[in-house]
Amino acid sequence: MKVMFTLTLLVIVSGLAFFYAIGWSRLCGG
Amino acid sequence: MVPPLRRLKDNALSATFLVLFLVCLAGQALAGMLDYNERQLVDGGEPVSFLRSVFSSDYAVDVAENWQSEYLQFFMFIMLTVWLVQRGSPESKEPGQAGAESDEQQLIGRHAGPGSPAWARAKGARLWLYSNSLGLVMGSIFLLSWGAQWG
Repeated sequence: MKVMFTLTLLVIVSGLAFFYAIGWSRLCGG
Repeated sequence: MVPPLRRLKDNALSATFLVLFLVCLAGQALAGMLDYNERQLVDGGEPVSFLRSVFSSDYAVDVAENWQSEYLQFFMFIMLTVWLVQRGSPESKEPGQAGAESDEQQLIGRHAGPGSPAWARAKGARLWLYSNSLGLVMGSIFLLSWGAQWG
């Protein structure tokens, strides 16, 4: 169970990090 | 040691949804690239590669928008099903059982069991955070995925 929970958390955090990384690079003139 | 096939069967639901999630992400990336390139050609611009489109703000916004609506849905479902019921629905509490329930029913405070998380036994702010953790997490991810689209 803890594996599934950790995996899910990883997917969510990675996705959000991806969105913000793209947005940040746009703001910096990327 | 659990045999691999048994482990897969036990987690089949999560595994299937993970695969569906990845397939949809890939499909959206492909469709997004094709749509963008078609519009580029019409406007006289240059078409982009698949990799370029995946790292574009168009794709990020489209996926973030989907996440935003999903987390809003779950946040609302979690909060509203505390107090509202739907007779006959397996997703709802039984009529007459609406409400926040007692500490004894929720196994918190002095009613927490030996296997309960430590914060179930806590008091004050920590107990409030633990008691509302699901709603707080869903609401936070909704706000974060909404905010990601502003950039």
